[in-house]
Amino acid sequence: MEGIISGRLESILVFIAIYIILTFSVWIPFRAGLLWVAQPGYMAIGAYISAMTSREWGFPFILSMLLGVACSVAVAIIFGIPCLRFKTRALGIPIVSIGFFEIVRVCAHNFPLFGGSMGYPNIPFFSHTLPVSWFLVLIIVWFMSRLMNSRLGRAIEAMHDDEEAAASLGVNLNVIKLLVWVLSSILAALGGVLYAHYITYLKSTVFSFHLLVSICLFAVAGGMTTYWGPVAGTIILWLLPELTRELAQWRGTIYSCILIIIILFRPNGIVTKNFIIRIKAAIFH
Amino acid sequence: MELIAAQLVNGITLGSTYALVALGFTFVYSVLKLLQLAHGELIVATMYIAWQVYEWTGNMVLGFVAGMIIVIILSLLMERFGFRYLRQRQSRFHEPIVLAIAIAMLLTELFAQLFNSGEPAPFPSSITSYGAAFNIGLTTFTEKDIYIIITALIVLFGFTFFLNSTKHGRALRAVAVDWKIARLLGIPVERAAIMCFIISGALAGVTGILLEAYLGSSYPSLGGSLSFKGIAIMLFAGAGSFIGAGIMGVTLGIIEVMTLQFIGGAWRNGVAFAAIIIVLMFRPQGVFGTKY
Repeated sequence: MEGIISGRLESILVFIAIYIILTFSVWIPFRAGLLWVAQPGYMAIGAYISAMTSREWGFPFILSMLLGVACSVAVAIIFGIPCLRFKTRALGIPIVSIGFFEIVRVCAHNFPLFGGSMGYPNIPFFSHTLPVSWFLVLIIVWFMSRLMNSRLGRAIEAMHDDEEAAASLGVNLNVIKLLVWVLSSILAALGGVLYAHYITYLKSTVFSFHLLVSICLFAVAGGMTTYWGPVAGTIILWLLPELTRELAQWRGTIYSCILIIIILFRPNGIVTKNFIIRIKAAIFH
Repeated sequence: MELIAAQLVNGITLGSTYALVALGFTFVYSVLKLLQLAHGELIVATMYIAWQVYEWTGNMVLGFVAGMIIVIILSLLMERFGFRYLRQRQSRFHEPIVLAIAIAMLLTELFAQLFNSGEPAPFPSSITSYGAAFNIGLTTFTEKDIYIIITALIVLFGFTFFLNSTKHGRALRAVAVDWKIARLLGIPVERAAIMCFIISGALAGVTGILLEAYLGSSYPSLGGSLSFKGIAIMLFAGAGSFIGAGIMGVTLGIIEVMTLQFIGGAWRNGVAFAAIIIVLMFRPQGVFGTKY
């Protein structure tokens, strides 16, 4: 695989895949109406736990990945149960989740176990990251299409529209909220594990508010209503800075101008349900 | 004991700056149910414009005046071309927030490009000096501390009085509750929104001036961290409560300074956020919040 795809292209593709997974982890709670933004924290947990088991104990990649995801799920359940008392669109949820990942980041920064401010180097490089990450992306997209068309998916969207009405119709809010949070933490941890084993060096500054804003923007600008939204949003918004490299220092300015234009004139995102219907009609007729 | 008292003074001062920032967010949220995430950037815009005018003319007062005027104009532009469009379209919940974030990103990028090539911009010592020091009891208050604390108190009580006791203030609160009914009752909703953005722009200007004195220099990503802390304090105190924002801002300042002194610098944000989370777990509407 190494000879076929050049190094820079490979790293772009790997990053796109990792960010698609992270954007899905943000997209699911948004679909349920929960402004749940603790994903950098779960990404950090997945990354550090898998990095530690890989480096210190020499576990193979699959085992490290499973351990990272398992720890993330455990923390999600422990942290999610007290969060059930918030109502679905409450502003307390984003603040508490931001607080959560800030605490995780500060712990990662300060404890020498995680490398302190010097970071956590020399994680074993996983050479099959490119095919594995895109394979995971395909599985996740397939999973989302099955999930959103199922009874569970409709329950999630019902919770988004009106929480009390959904509860009165038999949707068990607590179970669905926990499920959404656990799913989101699994995806975030997967992203973290792939990131750790590709970059082979972890710094606590990576799992920051900046990362969170990026993946939220990919989700929102890509399209919140369909599961292709995160994919399209990540690809377009990630390639934009890459393709405009010649503009050097004005990249960020143009990037934010484009975001403003998207939110003003195409608020449902780049990929909406109508868009997909029209594309399918164009392809299949 | 003197150490604790001195750090208490530092904490109250830092907390007053946080409270001022949080008051800006609380005000816009109370009137328009909008999280104006670009408020931190407006504060930093004041600082940068004042610095640039000082570089050109050598006059700091001119810089402050120019900063406030330009920030009020920026605020009005945001309202006219951004948020009003979203409101008329009856946009969904997340759209104004995303727009505010995008505007904040744009402003941060512009600061990095246009002013001092992204380097931190230092302010002259005529502004940042501590001024005369007063000894009261166990501790020492400096002039700078007094200015900051008194301004925060004035803004706090001024806003509370304005929104609760004056005709215009109550009109703004009516717009906050339900703007369609407010329009039926004869309140000019468009003008209310414009006034809200003018006032918050002016507040950003004043906060920028005080932060200039307090921090000594500004850097492009300062806006982001100010917005972050401001929103956290606002939600911690309960969205819509001014006195709450003031008290919680000061509390957060004291917690941060005490953590800095007794535990160590790196844990500053962690302890502050742990406190916020624990309180919000037990009281999700915020400490002073009412409706939930």
